[in-house]
Amino acid sequence: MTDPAQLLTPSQLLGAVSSTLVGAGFRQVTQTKGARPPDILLFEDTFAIVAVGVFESCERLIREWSNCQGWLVETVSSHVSKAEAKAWDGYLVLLTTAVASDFEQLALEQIARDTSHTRKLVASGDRLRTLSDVDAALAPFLPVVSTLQQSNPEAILDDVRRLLRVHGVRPLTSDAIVAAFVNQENMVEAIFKSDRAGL
Amino acid sequence: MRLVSVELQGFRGFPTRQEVQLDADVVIVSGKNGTGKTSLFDAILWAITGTLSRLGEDHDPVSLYSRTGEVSVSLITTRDGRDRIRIFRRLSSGDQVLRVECDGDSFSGPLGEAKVIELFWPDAQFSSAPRESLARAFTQAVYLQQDLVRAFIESHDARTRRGVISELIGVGRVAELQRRLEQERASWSRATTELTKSRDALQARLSRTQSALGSLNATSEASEDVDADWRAWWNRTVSASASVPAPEVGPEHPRAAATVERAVNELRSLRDRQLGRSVMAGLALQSAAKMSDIESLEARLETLTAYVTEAEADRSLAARELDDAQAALSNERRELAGLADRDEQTAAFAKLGLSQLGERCPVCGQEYDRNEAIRRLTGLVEEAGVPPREADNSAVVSGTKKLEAAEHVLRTREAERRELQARVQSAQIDRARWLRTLEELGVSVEPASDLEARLSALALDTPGTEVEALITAGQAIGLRLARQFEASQRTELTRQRANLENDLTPIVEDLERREAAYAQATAAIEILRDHSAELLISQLSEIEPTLQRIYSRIDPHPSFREAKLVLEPHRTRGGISAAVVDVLEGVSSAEPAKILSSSQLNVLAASIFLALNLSMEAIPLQLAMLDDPLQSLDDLNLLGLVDVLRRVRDVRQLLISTHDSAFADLLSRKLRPSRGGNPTVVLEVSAWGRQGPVIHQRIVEPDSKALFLVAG
Repeated sequence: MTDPAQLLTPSQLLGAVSSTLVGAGFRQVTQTKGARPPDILLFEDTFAIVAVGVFESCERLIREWSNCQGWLVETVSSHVSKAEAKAWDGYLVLLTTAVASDFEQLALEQIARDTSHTRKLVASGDRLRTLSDVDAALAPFLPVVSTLQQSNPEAILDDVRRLLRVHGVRPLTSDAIVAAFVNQENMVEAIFKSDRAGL
Repeated sequence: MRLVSVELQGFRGFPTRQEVQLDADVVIVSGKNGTGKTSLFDAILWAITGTLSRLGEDHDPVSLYSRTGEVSVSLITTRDGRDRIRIFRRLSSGDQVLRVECDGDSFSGPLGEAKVIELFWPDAQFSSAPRESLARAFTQAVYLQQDLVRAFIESHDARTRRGVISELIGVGRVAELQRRLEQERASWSRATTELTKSRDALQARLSRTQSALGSLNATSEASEDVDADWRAWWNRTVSASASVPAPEVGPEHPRAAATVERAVNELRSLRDRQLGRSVMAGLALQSAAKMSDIESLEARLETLTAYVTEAEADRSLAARELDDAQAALSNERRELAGLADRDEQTAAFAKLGLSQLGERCPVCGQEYDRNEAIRRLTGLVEEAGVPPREADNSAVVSGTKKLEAAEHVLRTREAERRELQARVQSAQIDRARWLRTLEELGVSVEPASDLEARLSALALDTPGTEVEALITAGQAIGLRLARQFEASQRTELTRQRANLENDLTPIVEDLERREAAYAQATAAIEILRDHSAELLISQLSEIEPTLQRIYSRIDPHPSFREAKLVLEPHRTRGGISAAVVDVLEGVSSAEPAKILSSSQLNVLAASIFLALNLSMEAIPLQLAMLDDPLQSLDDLNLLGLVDVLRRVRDVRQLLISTHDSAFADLLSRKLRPSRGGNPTVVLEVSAWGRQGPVIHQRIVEPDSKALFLVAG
């Protein structure tokens, strides 16, 4: 049984969600037409509109999720014409730190499998204990790779450097070996010169 | 690098020439099954790799409806948005022709294949089969083929998977580094050995120099002292001996000691000559008395010679007399022998007659006195029985004795004469020698009366003290010159030692560093050899987060929500397995086929493919091709996959085909371009005929604006 004191509070959840999505390039929507349900945040980027709701319990999430979805659909339709592709790019993220019972778990899975109107992402209980769990719940909105990786045929050589250093080769030496290999120069001579430079 | 366009003719579903534009961030190829979608994807694969291994090694991609019976594909890519690369590949009657145009140059044949590898999979050059390596990299990490979606997790075994990933992460490059390092280490060692020989040679020279220094005395010589003594000594020496010339060099000259030595030797010779003359004169004096004996010896020899002649005559006479006596004896013996024979014959006749006697004579038939005849015949027989007398050999006996005596006398006298001859010869030799001695001494035999006096005077003429003193002084000067030479030698050796030490020090230091470099190279080689698995583990640890992000976004299984690539059981020899994990229950399985459904396995396979595609920094072509990845995915999984692809488009050009028009629509919406960004293109393959597919291109428009809810 998870210690309640260790659970993330709703404020912490909301703060983490906001930080993560804004960090991924989303803009938070602060003003919308019509009343917004409590503990719902709204975000938008070039391709998607994301509403994130935090609930105190699984029971409340199950009871209120459809209202949230209705609000999101109405908000989107009031701002985005149906002719726009973004009108079909609404996401509803439903979070609760409460641990679902078996029955509730089934209900949550059913919600997640409901692809009508918007796509639903649901996270609860033991899958939402840490801030990194929040990132995992928001994964579809985050880059797949953390940095844009340029083609680097010699990436493996960085690992060679690290491997050599881990096993006791001096950094100057490991760098000299790899640099000489890349530049088609004599590696042993490069080691020799690096020793002289290091003296 | 990304695709720009492909032109194909005669290739599988494209019998006639068609050009397809691909210069977009996302290209969605939509069409029913059998309209040529896979042919388009395969054409790109074939243009780059020259093979379609999925269809078999002997597969011929020529379309049955090709008018020329040939197939050609021309693929254009762009590098860094500027440089265009064109690959043209043609197959005709089993012969494949390749031409690569790049950077204004054109490459064909093997050079073209090498250029393709350099451009599209540089790591393949470290493989033993570069073209196959290129094809593997392409089909494992760039092009997810429709028929082989799950090949990585189902068809390959763990060792093969390890090989695939090792190849993709660049193990070949590491192996090449290790191989080159080993080669260079060996060459370095040989060069170090040569330098070691130089060091050893210098050290040996240094040792010899130090040894030579150690053997020199510390005493030095002031050159000016030697100068004065040198001049004085030479003056005296030249005066004392006419055979010693004045020196041509001074005491500082390298030949000074040799010059002094020659002069001293001349002085010694002079002294020895003088001494020798004295001794010779003494000996000649002693021998003079004996010289007069030779005349009497010679007279005696003449007498003995006469005696010998006389003895020879006597012997000859005795010999002749003996010969005569022997001849007479022989005659007598012959006569006696003849008489004896006659008697025997007479006796034989007599016996015969006795036996044949009758009343009448058997010869003439007359009557005869038979008794008288018998008496005579018997007398003849009796006479024959009487032994003959011996010949008289007394003359021979006496003659023999006489001859023996004469020979004895002759031998005796000859012996005496030989002895005397020897004595005379010896005396003659002594005399000749004595005369030569006198000649050497310059002494005449005549007058003989004062010969002894003259010889005596010479014998008493011994070498003077001046010569001896000069010899001693010359030796002293030689010694001083030697000391002076040693002093200069010491100076020179000291200089040489300093130079050698200066030359040796940097070499020794260099060698120490060379050996240190060798040791470090050895350490690096051993690390690479013994810990190469750590590279694989490191790369897997970099691939896993991407795999996990992709897999979790699609989230195919309610419990097994994590995926990983596991290296087991042995780090150096084991294989790689795809595993799924139930984190909450702490359960994992390296045999996902036993846990996941077919659709879920497709998700896992697609996730691994995309993870490899996004993680392989060594692949220059930043492209992901997915041929109909629908593959029985449910709606939720599809949405998850599309959301992943939306993020993948940020870093990869996407080429996706689908037979499902609804999915194509979903893709075109989800993968639409942003305003001002690179386009999304939909290629709608509406039909296929013997002329090939009918393709309509549609550009997907972006939203009218980027943000609708956010103000400003």
